[in-house]
Amino acid sequence: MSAQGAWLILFLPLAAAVAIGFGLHRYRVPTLIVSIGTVLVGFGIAAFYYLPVLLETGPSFMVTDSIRWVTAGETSFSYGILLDGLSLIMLMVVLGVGGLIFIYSLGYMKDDEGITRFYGCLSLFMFSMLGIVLSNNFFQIFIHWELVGVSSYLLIGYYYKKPAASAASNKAFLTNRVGDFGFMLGILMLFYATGTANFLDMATVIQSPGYLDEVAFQVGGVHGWTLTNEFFLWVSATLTLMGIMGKSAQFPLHVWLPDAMEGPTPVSALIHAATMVAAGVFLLARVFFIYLPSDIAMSIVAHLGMFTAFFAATIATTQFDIKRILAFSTLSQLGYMVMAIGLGSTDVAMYHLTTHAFFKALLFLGAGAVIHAVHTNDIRQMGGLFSRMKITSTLFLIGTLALCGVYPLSGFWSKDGILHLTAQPPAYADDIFIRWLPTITAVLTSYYMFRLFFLTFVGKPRYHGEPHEAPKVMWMPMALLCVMAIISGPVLFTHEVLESFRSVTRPMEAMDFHHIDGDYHTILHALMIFVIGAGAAFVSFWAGWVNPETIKKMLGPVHRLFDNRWYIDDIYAWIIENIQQNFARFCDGFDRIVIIGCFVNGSAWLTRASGAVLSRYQTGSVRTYALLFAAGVAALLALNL
Amino acid sequence: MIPLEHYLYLSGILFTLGLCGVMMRRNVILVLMSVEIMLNAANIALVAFSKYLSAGAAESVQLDGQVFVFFTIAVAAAEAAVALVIAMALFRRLDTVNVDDVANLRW
Repeated sequence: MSAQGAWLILFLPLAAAVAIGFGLHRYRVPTLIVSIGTVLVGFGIAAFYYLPVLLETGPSFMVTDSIRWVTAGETSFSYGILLDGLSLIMLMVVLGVGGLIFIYSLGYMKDDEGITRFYGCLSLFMFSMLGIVLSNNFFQIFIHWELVGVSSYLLIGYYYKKPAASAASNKAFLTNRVGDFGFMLGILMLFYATGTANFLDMATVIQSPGYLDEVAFQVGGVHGWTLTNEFFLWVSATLTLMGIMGKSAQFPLHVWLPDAMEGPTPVSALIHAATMVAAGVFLLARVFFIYLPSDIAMSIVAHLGMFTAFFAATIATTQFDIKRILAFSTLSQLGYMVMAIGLGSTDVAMYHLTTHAFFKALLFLGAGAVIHAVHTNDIRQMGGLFSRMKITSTLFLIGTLALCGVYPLSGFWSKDGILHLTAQPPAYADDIFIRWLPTITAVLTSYYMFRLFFLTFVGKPRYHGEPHEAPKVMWMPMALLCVMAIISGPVLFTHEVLESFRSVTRPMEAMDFHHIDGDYHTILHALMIFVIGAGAAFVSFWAGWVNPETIKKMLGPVHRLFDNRWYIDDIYAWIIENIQQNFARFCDGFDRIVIIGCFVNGSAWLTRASGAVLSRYQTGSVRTYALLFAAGVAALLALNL
Repeated sequence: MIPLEHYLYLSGILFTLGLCGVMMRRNVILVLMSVEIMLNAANIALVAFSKYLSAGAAESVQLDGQVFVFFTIAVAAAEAAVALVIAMALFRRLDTVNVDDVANLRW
């Protein structure tokens, strides 16, 4: 199997981005053709060239290629391709969902004069994201990690004249920098401990017998401080997790994702729901072998995901911005995926990532169609849109049901796979929170999604103007996503298919995939969760039997906590204002007084002063010089004798 | 044979005279002549050392000092040529050969 197809998939979008950046952006139609065409060609290669081979050969499928990039002494860094089951499923999601969203944007951005710039940035994003998916080593993935950060920055700030949008893009970029700093430290530590950055080699080193007990680092002789590789590994795994926290918006670095909704809606669907934010989960699955040896690292991952899932779901119940609700829902679902990996199953996490990419992109595109129609994000100014937008509403409803995990839609199979894990957690994560919070989160999910649905599509119309159905170019991609959201259950992803979508670096002792078999017990369990959540939304937001205001008053401080997003943004603002700013002021003063005042200006003053004194001896009289010269020679002689 | 000390006394006296001339004379030509005297004082010393180091040892004649003198003479000739040209240029431009009048390069 040749790797040329993979190289083509990776570099076609870059070529498109470069072409658009250097002149093509002046011509609207060629730009659109090139940008969309490269993605479709990439999808074609992945689906018709590689996928059949993968389905035939199963989990051992692997295509690699590598070019040496930088050589420094004995170490060299390469830029390469590692295409296995894991990267192929991710490729299909990125290119498939991406292609549909590229097409949808034709309708959504039709009247925007910057549409060519938009497509240029989208192509750049595509290249960056595909680089993460196809990387075969840590350094390459880090470069692309930063590149998706840049393209995300450009796309969030697409409406750069809007202050909120440029502030949101800055926030996203800076928050990601915090995570990426930890990520970089983690990579360097791993490189130190294993001597390689290549995933395959690193997996071999770590899984070699006896490696974990070897001494990685020693300070101060025999009685000093000895660190084993095991310790080294879990520290670097936790640091690497920081990068994942940033990109996949896990607590406490989640703050950028809700604000990132300032970007155009297709961007929110593509980058901030389906692909980029899933990169963290993908990376966790890719380097699972550094987490698995350590119970501490696994437990951290599991609890981080569990808390993020619950925390984001509680906030989503109080928001009124349609895209923000979906953003918090994305946070929550990403938390589920991270937790699944922490509980030992990358298969379920990647499965949920795939199904989530379909139905969450569908929901975002639906939200985009609604926003396009009513020109507001506020669900209090919508309502009753069902009669106006029948297609969008139906598709949105199916997406919502899939997200809530209703049998037999795709969400049921993947989400209940995760809930199944939490019912029998591994010993290191066996506590009451892991056992119960994910289920409560699932109830909350049904509640906030149906709250959103009822407020937007049914009840009394509160919108202004004349909303109209989305054009065909917009609802066709949604319909395709909807089909995927329906059938990507066991119809499409049978046990064997799911097992072939595995990383080749997956450790042998990792948990095998446990397929939900859809028996009455599981279906009833899922249905019960759904009915409680959706029922609560029904009685308060459609039927009107319960006034939501009364519940707000009843909950009191709890509601305030959720409504203010657990005050996390306020805490950050306080830290920045009081600690960071004061520290910056101190540094500024230190710089002005000590560095500039003493060292820079001080040395200049010293030179000038000594020059003023010594220049007096420059008399210009030859005979003085002769005298001084003679005196000097005499002095030297006297000293030597 | 005249003892070595006598040559060295002569050399020392000539050197001192030359040094005094360099420091005290105002005429640039005379300053240059004084420099030449100092050079020749050194030459005398070198030749004298060469002669006395070789005395009584027919096999190992020490000619280093004398070779040095040839170099010195050659360099002195070059130096005199350059220096006199400078003196001439000085006279043409400033109409003086007095070194005290040439004190423009000062702070």
